Amino acid sequence: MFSRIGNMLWKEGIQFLRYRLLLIFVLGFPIFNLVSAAGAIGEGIMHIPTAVCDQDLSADSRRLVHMLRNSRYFDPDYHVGSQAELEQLLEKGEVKVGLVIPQDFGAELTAEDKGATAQVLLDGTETTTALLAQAYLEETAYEYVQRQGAAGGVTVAGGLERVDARPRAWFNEDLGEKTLDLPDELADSLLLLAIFVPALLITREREAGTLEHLFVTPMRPIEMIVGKGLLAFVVAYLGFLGMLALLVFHFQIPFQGSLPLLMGLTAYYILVEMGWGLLISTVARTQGQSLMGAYILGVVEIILSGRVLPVAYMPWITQAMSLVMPNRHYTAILRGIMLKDYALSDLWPQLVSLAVLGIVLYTVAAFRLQKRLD
Amino acid sequence: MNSILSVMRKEFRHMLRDPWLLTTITVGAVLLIVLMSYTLSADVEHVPIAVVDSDRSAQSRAYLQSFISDDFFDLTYWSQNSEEAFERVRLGDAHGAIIVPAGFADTLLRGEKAVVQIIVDGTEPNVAAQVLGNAKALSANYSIELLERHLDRAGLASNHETQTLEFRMQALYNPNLEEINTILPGLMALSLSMPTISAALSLAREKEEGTLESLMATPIRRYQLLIGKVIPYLLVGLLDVLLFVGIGLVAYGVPFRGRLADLILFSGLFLLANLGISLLISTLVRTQMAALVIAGFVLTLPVINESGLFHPLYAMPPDARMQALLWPATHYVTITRGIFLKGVGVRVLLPDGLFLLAFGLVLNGLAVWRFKKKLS
Repeated sequence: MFSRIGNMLWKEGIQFLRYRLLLIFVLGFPIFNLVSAAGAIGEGIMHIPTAVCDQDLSADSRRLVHMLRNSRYFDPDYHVGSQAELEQLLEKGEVKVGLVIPQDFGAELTAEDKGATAQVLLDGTETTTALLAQAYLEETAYEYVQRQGAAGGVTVAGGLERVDARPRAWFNEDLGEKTLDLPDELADSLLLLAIFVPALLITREREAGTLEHLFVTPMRPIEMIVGKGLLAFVVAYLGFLGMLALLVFHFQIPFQGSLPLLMGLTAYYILVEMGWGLLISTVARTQGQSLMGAYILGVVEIILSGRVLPVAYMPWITQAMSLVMPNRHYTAILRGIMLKDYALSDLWPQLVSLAVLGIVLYTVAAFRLQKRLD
Repeated sequence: MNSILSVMRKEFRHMLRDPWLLTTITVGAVLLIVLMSYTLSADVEHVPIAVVDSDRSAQSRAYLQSFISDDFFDLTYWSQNSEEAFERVRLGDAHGAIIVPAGFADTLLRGEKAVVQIIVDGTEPNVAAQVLGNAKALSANYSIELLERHLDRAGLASNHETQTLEFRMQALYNPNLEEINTILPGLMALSLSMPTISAALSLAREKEEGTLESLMATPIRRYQLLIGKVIPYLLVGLLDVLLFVGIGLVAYGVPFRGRLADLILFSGLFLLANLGISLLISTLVRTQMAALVIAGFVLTLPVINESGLFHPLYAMPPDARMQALLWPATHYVTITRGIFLKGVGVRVLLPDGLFLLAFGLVLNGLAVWRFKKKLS
């Protein structure tokens, strides 16, 4: 049995090597993607482009603008004369926040029984930015009053008590996006590798009519799947090793957990993910179908993986759907080991889910294959 | 013209003969956008939080009460010490922690600044940023309350020395900041990759099966052949756009403030640009497998990571922003959000449209050129 599988692997390997361009791409694009993603990483949602329409032009209004800039959350680089201009900038997308300081701002601020009001226009098309800008502005308003009070010599007997919320991030101390985004990119690319490559191997053979030839040989479907699968596995795992080396050596992503554990569990994940690829290729009638099927699965898995939005906040239906997506479990494994120092014992829910998923996928795939050949 | 039409007819017949494929790139694309919008538009709310209240005073309870009454936070785990809270966050049960230090009430009584630690899970930066923002805003509000109460006690309540500043905030284009309104138009860029990839597969299939050679033997010119092959997919793509708009309006109530004609025009340009990428890829490779793998990567990952769909463009370093602007999807995300939500038209979106046009012409031109070179 093993020599037959070995022969199969050899034949497939030779065939695969003939697609040189594809091979270069399969192993090269994930690397390219990582490098370009590393370049795209900023400081997170900071320096929101902001326009100011200061109709007061007082020391008070200037202090406010200055404070916004100092907070580093806002970049008030645009100064406009009218609210209409400000709205134009928002419409064009040049700024995400517009601040209108009315003429009597400074006067009202110090007037009796009155508070000052400034108007803020937010670009609602980027909800995350708008939500954060709102929260930052509320904090700024309070700090402004505090400092203004201190500067104006307002002291109340006993001082000014207040609560300061001091932020601290665990597991990714400086909220470094590189630390998080690059492993995420790795998971994206690995996913596509693990479903594309096996999905093709079988359909190609069937379309070329050589599948029947293989089955008149004394090979059993299981051997056939193993032979094809091994090659796909080797390709995907090589891709993973390349990306991992880049992360660890070149980008020097802090690695909290055990590297061998991650390498072992990644192999486990690739095997399960390949089950989907095999299943699709046994259901599809043509290569086109099998390829589009693999592509759709890939997109759905990325969306449901929890990397875009944590699974806990998804609607329950898609939370349930995500359970059959190996990539969701892998995301937890990858982030857990790299950033949170998860040991094997912390990961048992993921390991069990993957095991169940793997058994089901491979059984159905083998069953389908058998049925089609009868 | 006639030869283009006959190639188109042939391509349409191919599509109809494989109903699975046609269903995939129409109904499938719609289902995909429905699923993605439904999933990703969920609000981050009721974030589970671990609390360590080392002070256990009336003051600390009053402070924490403001978190309890806020919908954003769920103070789920009341931990004894910060190690326990750490473990909750590490295992992902809690997505953040609030640590009120011992002596909190005393510090406030002395009229000093009490520091509360807000812990966020750095592995979920979007949630972390929102937890932080909300915690800071709540703390600021609580401080204002304290101040007012203090002044009250001192009989200074209506004294001129109280100053307040209020920002009156208004979100334009999406007043309630509903996530679905920004997600659905943006996701169109991703869903439209399906008809585009089918075009690449179709050309690669003809190469694989050798039917391309027989077509070349007819007097059809190369560019006519490519145009004839591309247009059916462009039309299917535009049909998808109409379906997306319909789903957005009917199922999700996403506002559509611009003009449909503008959306069709710009979507056509986007599809042209993407089809350019697809065709160029399929002229470079020999098999459907290679065409899919390459087109799948190139048309998907940049959309997810660099188009501004999930990460705002301004938050990228300048070099990366320039690079992101080289992908058609980046412009298309601006376009769809602009037309759906802002109601802008050609006047504002012209630069994006021109880029897509130029990109489409150059890449399709390159594809024709490659195609000629290869076959002659």
